[in-house]
Amino acid sequence: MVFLKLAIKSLKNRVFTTGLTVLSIALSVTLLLSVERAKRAAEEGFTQTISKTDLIVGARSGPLQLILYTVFNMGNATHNVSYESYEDIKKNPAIEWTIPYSLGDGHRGFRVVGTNEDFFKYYHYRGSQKIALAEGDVFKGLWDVVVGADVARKLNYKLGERIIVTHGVTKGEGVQNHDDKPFVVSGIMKPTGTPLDRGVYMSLQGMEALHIDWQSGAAPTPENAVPREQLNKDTLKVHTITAFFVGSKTRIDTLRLQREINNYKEEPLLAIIPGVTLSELWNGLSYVEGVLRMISWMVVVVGFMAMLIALTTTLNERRREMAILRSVGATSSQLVGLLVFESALLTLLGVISGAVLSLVLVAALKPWLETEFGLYLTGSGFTAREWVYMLVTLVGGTLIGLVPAMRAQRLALKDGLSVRL
Amino acid sequence: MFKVLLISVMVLAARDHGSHEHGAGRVSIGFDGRKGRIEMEIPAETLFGFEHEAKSKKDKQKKEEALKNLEEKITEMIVFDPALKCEVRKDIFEVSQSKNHADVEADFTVSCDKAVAESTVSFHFEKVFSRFKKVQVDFITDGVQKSLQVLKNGDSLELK
Amino acid sequence: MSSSNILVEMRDVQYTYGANQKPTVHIPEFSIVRGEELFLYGPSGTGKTTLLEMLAGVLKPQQGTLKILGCEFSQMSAAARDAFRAEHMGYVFQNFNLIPYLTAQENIELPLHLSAGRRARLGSVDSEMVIRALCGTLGIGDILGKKVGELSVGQQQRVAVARALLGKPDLLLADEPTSALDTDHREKFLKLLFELSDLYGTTVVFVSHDRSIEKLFTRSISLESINKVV
Repeated sequence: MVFLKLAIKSLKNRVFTTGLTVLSIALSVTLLLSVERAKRAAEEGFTQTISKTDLIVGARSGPLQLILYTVFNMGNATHNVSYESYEDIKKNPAIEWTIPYSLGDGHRGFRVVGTNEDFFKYYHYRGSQKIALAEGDVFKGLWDVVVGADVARKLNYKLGERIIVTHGVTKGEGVQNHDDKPFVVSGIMKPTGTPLDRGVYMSLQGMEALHIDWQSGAAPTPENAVPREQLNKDTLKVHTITAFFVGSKTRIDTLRLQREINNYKEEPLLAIIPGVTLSELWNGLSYVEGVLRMISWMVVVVGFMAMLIALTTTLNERRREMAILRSVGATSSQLVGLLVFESALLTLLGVISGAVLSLVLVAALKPWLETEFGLYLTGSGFTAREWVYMLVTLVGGTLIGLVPAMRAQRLALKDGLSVRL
Repeated sequence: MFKVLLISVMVLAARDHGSHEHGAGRVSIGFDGRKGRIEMEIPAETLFGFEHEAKSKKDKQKKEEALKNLEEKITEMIVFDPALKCEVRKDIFEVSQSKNHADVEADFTVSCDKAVAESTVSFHFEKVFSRFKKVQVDFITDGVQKSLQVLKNGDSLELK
Repeated sequence: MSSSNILVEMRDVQYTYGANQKPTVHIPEFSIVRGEELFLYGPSGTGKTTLLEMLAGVLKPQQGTLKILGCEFSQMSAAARDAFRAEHMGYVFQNFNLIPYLTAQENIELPLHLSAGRRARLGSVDSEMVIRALCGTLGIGDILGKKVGELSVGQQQRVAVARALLGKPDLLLADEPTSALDTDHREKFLKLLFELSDLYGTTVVFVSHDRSIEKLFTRSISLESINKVV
């Protein structure tokens, strides 16, 4: 394959312009694939983070806000739900199970969730996956906590470790620590690949105990502080929770239940069907995605233009080369082939480096996406659609190569063997 | 940057909620296997063409006709896969009248020969009541929770 | 001169560029004998390059007949003429003979890659050995692996000759290849060239405006005497 060799050597000879051209194509392919990937990650993240929950109930706010702070660990609730309302609604015969959720405190950058043992029984993700413990047991005592897999790994926690909870902070280091009331790690969860891995779970009573001596959001003065030893799980009364998850007996019940909770007289509540809210969010996102994808294709076109310019400007210097090839027997269509081949090679290099770059980018951004957005990228490799994009780029780049190639053919026919430069 | 984006998306997605908007409607469909329920909430204007209390004979007639239409043509508006052989029956129709606004709440029961999971439902609201502009459809069945904004005849939802 | 000895036969050949009124070349009758070393001279503008390009098959005569080795060029397609050139001819330019990003050896091998016919002419002998032997004779055996840019002008011209003569072509066309060399080197270069062309039985057609070297050729003709236009 003499033309392969010629094309490679010729491109190598012009390594600087070749490099720039490949880079511009690579960057555009990276952008294209990254948009696609981000969309996929979001889609998977959104659909796999929670399942089998019919309703999420919280204080009345935006439906997206509710699902973001309960499921995705983003943002905070502005109001709480009183425990009486929760107990009252729980009695509804249409309800099969509930999981109370109490948020607001943190531990070294991870959020603390107050809940009960039903969390381990009924919380599902990725279809019918349930939370399982890798070590230890669920929280039984008031001062027990179960930590998510990421928490255990990052902070290197073992069973029996004593930990301090930070007040009012779900991210970063806090100012006010509940250091008078340490907790003990009683269990470590298996990884779920969801934001659950980044939580510390304790009983609702434990959460209540932390704040029992706090008054209107301020830490207790030493004389007001209630010592740890005086607190008891059975006598502590829970006052509020942040939200709760509901599983109803039938899906038809869900609709009625949603309406009843939304019209609840005692306090303003909001019940959402998580999948419905997510697919609304999803529709919004796909609009943004469409715009981003259009921009990426435009960048691909700009990349092609850069290649077109690079190939065309070198053409004049290469007229002599074309005449030599003609003299040793190359037909003018072989010259076209050579140039098209060069652009195909450039595009191929660009597509490959773009694909690799996008993988590197994903690997690099993965931890950030997980901590910031609770988006867990699962599944590697490329989807059929991504392969199609790469193929389209490849074909497009090769076709663009026809433009300078046809010009070269015209020049070669005009020049014959006598180029006077 | 991403957070700004997300917030703008949230605003975009959230702006259609809860308001009484003419031409808009809200439909919730719940299914347990073969049995299901349709709950519609529609501003009266979309169905009757007016929202004041129907006092005149002409208005009453319009209202009656519209409700009859709604009952009879529900299967033309919400079209299940014919292979499922679904039957839709009127359950409760209720018109709630406030001073200047009226809403129609219409509930139906559905029973099919086969479970709806994995099938496709299509929507043709505008075909029957031309004043429909957009309808928010929420659909839940075992393992599927989806929503769709129906903007034109033929928009459909895949139940998987 | 028996007709089997005729390599190139031209009758009433005409070529006119574009919309020119007057043809650039009009040769009523001219032939080249197999094995001769022909010197064609004339000042620029006498149609030297046009004639060479017709012989090479890059340009097609618009009128008349041009036969090489009995093949009628004016009736062959461009691709067939390209293939014919690759198999039967070598070409040496005035300067810039070589592809800059290839080594000397890669430049020499080019025709072999482009033409199966040319490759076949080497017979069963390993091309590597043929190239070594040929380049040894030309005194460029030690620079084969070098990039073109590292070679002197004289070396480059000899690499071009090696490429043109590889596979013992029937015809070598040369377009003033000695104009970049000084007188001393010019003669040495030509002697070496003829030594090889005699050995290979290759006919040489050499165009130039510099008549100081015509005595080295077997025949010398003024272009003006065969081209009726001028």
